[in-house]
This record gives sequence, structure tokens and C-alpha cells, in this order.
Amino acid sequence: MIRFPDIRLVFLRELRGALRERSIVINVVLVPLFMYPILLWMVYTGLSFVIGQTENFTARVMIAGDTEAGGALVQKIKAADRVTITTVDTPRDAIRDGRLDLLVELAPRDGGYADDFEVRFTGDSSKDRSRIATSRVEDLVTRHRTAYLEAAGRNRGLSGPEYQMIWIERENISSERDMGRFILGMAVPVLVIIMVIVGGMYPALDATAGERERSTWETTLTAATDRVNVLAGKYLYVAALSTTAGLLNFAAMSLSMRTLMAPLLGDRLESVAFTIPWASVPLIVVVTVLLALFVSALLMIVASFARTFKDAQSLAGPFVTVMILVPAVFMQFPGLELTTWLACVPIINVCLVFREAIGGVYQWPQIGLTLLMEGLYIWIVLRLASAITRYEDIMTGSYEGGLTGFLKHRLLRRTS
Amino acid sequence: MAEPVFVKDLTKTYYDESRGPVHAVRQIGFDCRPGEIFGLLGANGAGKTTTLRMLTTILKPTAGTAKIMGYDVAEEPVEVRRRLGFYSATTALYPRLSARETIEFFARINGYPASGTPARVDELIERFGIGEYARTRIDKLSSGMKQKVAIARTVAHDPPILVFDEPTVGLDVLNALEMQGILAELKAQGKTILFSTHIMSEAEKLCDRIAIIHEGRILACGTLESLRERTGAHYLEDVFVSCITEVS
Repeated sequence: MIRFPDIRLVFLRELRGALRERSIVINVVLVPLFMYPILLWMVYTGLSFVIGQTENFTARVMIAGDTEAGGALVQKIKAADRVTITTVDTPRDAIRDGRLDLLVELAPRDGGYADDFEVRFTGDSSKDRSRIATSRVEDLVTRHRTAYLEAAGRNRGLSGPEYQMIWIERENISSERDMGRFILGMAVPVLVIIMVIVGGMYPALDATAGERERSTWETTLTAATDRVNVLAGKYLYVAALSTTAGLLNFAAMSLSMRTLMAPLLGDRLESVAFTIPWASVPLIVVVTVLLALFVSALLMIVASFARTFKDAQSLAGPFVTVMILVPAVFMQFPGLELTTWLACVPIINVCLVFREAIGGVYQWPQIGLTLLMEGLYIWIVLRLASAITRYEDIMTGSYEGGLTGFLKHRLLRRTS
Repeated sequence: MAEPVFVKDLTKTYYDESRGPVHAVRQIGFDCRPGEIFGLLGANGAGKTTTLRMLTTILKPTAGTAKIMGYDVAEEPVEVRRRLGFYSATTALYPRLSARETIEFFARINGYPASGTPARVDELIERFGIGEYARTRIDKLSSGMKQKVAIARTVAHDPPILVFDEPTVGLDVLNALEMQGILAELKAQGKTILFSTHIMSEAEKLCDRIAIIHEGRILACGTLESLRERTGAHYLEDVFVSCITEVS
């Protein structure tokens, strides 16, 4: 029989213990609040330094062939910033070895025009330096050609606007706020989901395998309350800490994103406003709670097959890796939206709802389906947990097999 | 009024992945009378702990009946747990809670009235001399201090029946003697105590009645005098050996 006062007692007992455990406090509070923001700041700062270094390097270019034919262009390349002209015996080998960045070959074309010549670029696309060198010199060639065409046009009586014919104008209608939300939507959901998983992992393992290892599990089983109350108290405690880790990380990331992105955005930072629509916050909280409930149940099931905390870490490791990697990889796909199908994929659906909520986009049918499916997955996992806890040897910790063995030999055999 | 402990044909068979079915307890039967100390005496692996775990509802019996104050251990486990306190040398305390928090938690979860809990906790802290370290975390306490806290948490909800599974295992002589003193005191308060041990002198000294358990079966049960009469041996050690020899 469910007794809420007993669930509360177990919940508070677990929570009180957890707040006195340094590793839990670090994982649930300090890491989400400080580690990821600091880590990201360091990564972005490092990245901007590396980008700066790459952009400012001097490209080593060799010019070969009929340099007479493109004399003016050769002069421009020689005079260009961050380009140095060099000569090697075997340019292709030198490019492969990284001693040369680009080979520019000039050759006159058969056609009778005096200024008509061909420019051939030889580079190595697998090398950053070579790609950037090619881009720099190609840019010089394009500008040289445009200047030539403009001069030729003028000689034939064409004015600048007549020669131009098509004018391209670009307008970015996204506001500073939209840009900020786009950036937040790219980074924050995956990090928050990682924190929900990581924040729930330690308490889940501690409340199950950890308790068994400390020999307090039998003590807990002698409490005069239905076991469902003990398990519910523990489950809610794990889910509460997992949610806390996720929401703290969300708050920390949202508030510090401006500082984090400063090294990367530089002057463009002024045109970005990092704000989250207040109307999204309840939805974000709801999906975080649902995700925490799902992840907590899953982690507790896995850990219930372990006898020690270390065992539990080994068992939970692959699950955690999959739960983190799948959304992290998925969210890299550009243009990924919350479709009806994706609303049925656990964790990814939450990630997408999160992202769209940050951007102020609400596709209510898909959001409703996501909430429904997450609820369904939680129900399935809790049913599995309930089936597992009916086995005495698992409850007392004397079962020697693992989760797969249990599913294969007991649950599936029983249902067949 | 129902008997404090009633056991009939109690059996426990469990399946071990490597050994197959293991018959840990085979159709045992005994009862405990109000206010007595009843001892389960047996060698390691005899089935003492499995029996006590069934009586305290940690394990479910495979067959047979066991009742605590009239409540069936398989049918009404929560009612059973409310009426007994279980102490085992192998069960530990929550390391991150203080002594006071531990006693308070068990009093409350075992159904002691909320309004009376603070006074009950104070009373137990006073009784077991825990005051000095009542607010210290359990993991900072010595084993002797932990033992006192463990007993206090066992009796926190003032149950009429107490089950002690090898309570003196791992204790030094002084702490073991103190434990024996506490058991005698609890008996004097009218508690019914079911107690398992493999230490003959302990059973001889404390128990009103003794059941000798071997390979999951009860070989003999009665007062020390009746066991002596039955086997013709004087010392409990000899009584125990005589019973086992008789069977084999």
C-alpha cells in the first residue's frame, strides 16, 4: 500500500545523506553550475586562439609556368598580405609533406586573346593551411579578373552600373534575440541532457548498489512499510537530484552564455542577445523532469544488478554513453526539427523540444506527442522495475547474473 | 492473545545458479512465549539466518507458516515488521546520518507516533549513553558506538518482539558482554527475544529455551535442562554434538 508519509521519510533520508556526500554534491550542484560553463569558456577561448593563429599564418605559394602571361596577377600575388612566394624542386611532394601550401601554374590559352590565360591551383584539401592558401589566392584571382572586366567594360563605353547588371543585397531579418536563441539552442539542450544523466547517475548507483555495498540495504528492508514506498522514495530522490542538476546547468548556461561566447564572437557579440522566452520555462522544466524520471528509473534498474558501486559503474557505463552520445551526435545534424517520428524517439525528442522552446517555437501536436511518449517510456521502465523487484534474489542482492541474463532467462521465459 | 512467534513447517528453498536448488530450511517448527529469550543454536550455514530473515520478512518462505503476534509473515509483512525489531551483525547503519537521525528515522518509518518521537529518541539516547555523539555522523563512530546506535534503532519503535541475528559476532569481549547485558535488560522489560548464535556459552547463559538447528532442520528444542535430560550430556557443547551425532 502506498503511504506518502513513508515515501517522504525515505526521500528525505536519502536526500540528507546525499547532501553530506561530497561526490554527489559535486556531480549534482557544482559540476552543472560551474564546470560546464568554465569548460566551455576554455574551449571557446582556445578555439578562437587557434582560429586566429590559422587565419594569420603566411601561406607558402609557388608560382610556376608562363609567368609572363599573367604578369599583373603574379605581381598582385607577390604583393599580397600573408603570402610568401617560394620555389621547390618537386612541388607536389612538398605539398604532401606540408613544406608548401599551394602551387599556382599559369599557362596561355589557345584563343587568340592576348590576356587570356589559365590558372591551375594544386593543393591538398586535407590540410587546413593548403585550403586557406588556395582560398586566399583564388580570391586574389577573382578580384583581378573583376578589375580586368570592369576596365574592359569601361573601354567599350559601359558604365559601372551597366556592367554590374545584377546587384545582390543581403538582409538578415533575425533579431539580436533570435541570433542569441539560435546559439543557445545549439549548445544548451545537449549539455542539459548530459547533466540530467550525469546528475542522476551517482545518486542512482549510490541508492541501490552503494547501499548494498555498505550493507544497509537489509536494514532498509526491515522498515515497517511496503517496499514500494521505499523504492518510490529512492526513485523520487534520484529523479529530484537529476532534475536539479539539469535545471541548474540550464540556468548557469543561459546566464553565462554571453561571457562564454565572447572569445568566439568577438565584435559580433554586440549583435546577439542571449535571452530565453519566459513562456518556455514551464515547458523546459516539464521535459527535464520527464527525462529525469526516465533516466533515473533506467539507471536504478541497471544498478540493481550490481553488488558494489564499482560494479554498478561498469554496468551503467555503456547505457550512459549511449544516452549521451546519441543525442549529442543527432543534434549536430543541421535543420533537424521535431517531427512526429522524432517525437517518439526517447531523449532526442526532449532535446528537440528543449531546443525549439529556447527558440520560442511551439509545435504543440509534436510537443504533446513527446510528453505522451516520454510518459509511456517511464511507465514501461517502471513496469520493468516492478517485475524485477518481485524477484527476491535481486532485492536481497544474491542474484549473480546481469540484466541481459535476467531478461533472457526470467522475464522472457516467463512471458513465453 | 496470539503467540509472539509461531513457526510451523517453515521451509526455504532457493535456486543457486551454480548449485541448483538449495534447501536452506526444511519444515522447521517452534514457538516463542511472551517475555522469553529463545535461542537458535547452530553452526555456520545451519539455516539460522535464513530462518530469521523469513521471520523478519526479508525473505519469503517457500512453504509453511510463520506468524508474529498472529500476523503471517508472507501475507502481512508490514504488520509483522511493525511489531518486531531486527538486529544483525551483518546489517549496517546509514553512514551519512547522525545517531539521532538514524534512531528518529526508524522510529518514524516503523510507525512510532510523530508527536512522541523526539521524546522517544531522547530516552534511547539517554538509555544507551549515546548523548556525546548523538549528532556525529555514523561513519565517524567506533564499532562499539555503532553497536549501541544499532540496538537503539532496533528498539526505536518499541516493538514487543526483537530478533537478534548473531549479535556478538565481531565484537570484543567487553562489547559482547555489554550486548548480553542489554538482551537481559530487554527481556526484563517484557520483550520476547529470538536470538541466533553459534556461541554455546552465550546460548547457555541467556536463553530460556534453545532450538538446535542443523542443515536446515531443528534437531531438538527445549530448556537447557530438558536438552540435558534428553541427551544425557551436561554442557551445551556436548548436548549440541550429541544431537548432531544422533541424526548422522
